[in-house]
Amino acid sequence: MRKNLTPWLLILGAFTILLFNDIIPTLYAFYLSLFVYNMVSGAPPKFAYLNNYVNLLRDPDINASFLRGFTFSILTTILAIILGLGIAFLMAKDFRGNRLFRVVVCLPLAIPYITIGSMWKLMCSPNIGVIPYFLRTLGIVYDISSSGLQAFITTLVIDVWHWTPLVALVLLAALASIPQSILEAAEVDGATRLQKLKHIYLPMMSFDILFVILIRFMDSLKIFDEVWMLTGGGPGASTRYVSIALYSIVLKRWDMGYGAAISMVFAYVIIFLSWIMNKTLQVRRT
Amino acid sequence: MKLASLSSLLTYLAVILISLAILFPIYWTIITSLKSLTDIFSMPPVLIPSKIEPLNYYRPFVMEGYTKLLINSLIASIGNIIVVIPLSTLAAYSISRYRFFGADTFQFFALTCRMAPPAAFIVPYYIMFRTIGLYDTPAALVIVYCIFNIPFALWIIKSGFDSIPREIEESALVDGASLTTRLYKISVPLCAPSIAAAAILTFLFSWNEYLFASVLTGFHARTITTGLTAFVTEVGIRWGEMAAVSTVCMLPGILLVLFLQKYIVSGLALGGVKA
Repeated sequence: MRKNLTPWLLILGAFTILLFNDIIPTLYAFYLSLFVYNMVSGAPPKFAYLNNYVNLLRDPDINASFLRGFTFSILTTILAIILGLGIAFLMAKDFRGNRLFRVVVCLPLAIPYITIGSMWKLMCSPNIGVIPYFLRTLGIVYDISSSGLQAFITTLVIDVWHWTPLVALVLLAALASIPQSILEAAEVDGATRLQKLKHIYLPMMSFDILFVILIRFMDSLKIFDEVWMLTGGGPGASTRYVSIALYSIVLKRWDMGYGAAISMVFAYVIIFLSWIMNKTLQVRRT
Repeated sequence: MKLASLSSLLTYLAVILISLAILFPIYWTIITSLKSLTDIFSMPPVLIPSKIEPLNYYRPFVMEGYTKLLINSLIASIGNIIVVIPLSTLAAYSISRYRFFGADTFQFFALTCRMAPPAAFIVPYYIMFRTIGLYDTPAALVIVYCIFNIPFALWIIKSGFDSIPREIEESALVDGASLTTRLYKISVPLCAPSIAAAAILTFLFSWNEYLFASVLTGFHARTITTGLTAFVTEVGIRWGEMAAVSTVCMLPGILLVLFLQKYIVSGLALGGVKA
């Protein structure tokens, strides 16, 4: 009996903390989402059935932020996968300075997200930035405080800058696990680079690629810090992604019931995606 | 021969371009933190400052109390390690060594904790920590950071335990060693590199965090990352100070990558991936 309990006792501490951090807040958020509860008005919470969810479906701000978030995530995922694959092949090559290059590639992953926001704010500012200056010499007017499209593209560039290294590292590991004998056989048969990419690399790395696509997609959907620092969601609503919309609704309007309803929907979209990811992993294991 | 040298030339070209693209924003931030106001605003932008301006650091850290924010960040990060590492080590040992009912569920549960969007937790966290009186204390951050650090440390340490041959422990079991003895005398010491990597990255993730810190602290427990937004004011942005505090914020991460490259690199990759 005691032997059967041991594994449970060992996970008990970690489990309890995660319970407190995840399950209890989730249940509490669900409970709150059934109420009209504004912390500014000071009125006691009023039970409202599923009204918050109904309002949410009709709220153009929220719908637009989800649509914007999905568009952003799809674009940044595609860019990061293509670039990441290229960098992975580059890192797999044998050249002088390879180790140093790997260190450089890792740097963006170790920097606080909010600092990445301020870093790019320094470079993109219409007053002092190098990027507007550089583009001006090319005849392009670049101002993220007035052009929504430019702000959107800038957040894409930042996200790609930040996360392509992760894609590259994962795909490098996948690349390294391809048996050398297969590549040599293809060499003997006189396969071209494109043929090797199409018939060896991509099929053998397909699971890692799929996996990294899912990871990247989920992470970009959650983006907050960098964009909050850079644009605060503006100009207008052009970079108002889901987390930004949620944060603004909660901390500007203090509309806790409604905020909780959005949180529930947002969390379940992500949990559904991570469930798919988990299934993908299980397929790979078998 | 000619073709080979052309290909290696292209390789170097790509490596240099990518390195520049990665390093330039970091360089620009550091260099801006050392510039005087005239240099910051001068057009064309100044690539190398004419003189070094220490005031960008002096003002926030000496005059405006940012040192306290640094200390708060340290307290929250180290406090989090103290909670995360022992609990994760035990849990990792459990799922690495035993097959038991609920092990897979527990792992999936940990994965969802890691993946859950932080913004979705600000409403319940804010009210919960207000209610239990931990709002604006380092304890709130120590607890909250577990949500992403425990799953992460769990996976890193578990893969460490997985790589230790079971035979070593089994021979100790034959000798009659108890679970506690096996853990502290054999498995944990053998797993030390993984545990150390997990501890370092736990520190880094806590140090780097912004969203929860901005919601759960107000004045006393504010961390260095939340101090960064204060430079964006109604009347303008204090660029020099913002660059200086940004530089300090990213220092631990950059130093860790440079000096502990081997562990950190694989760990950072795992951080986003391992499941």
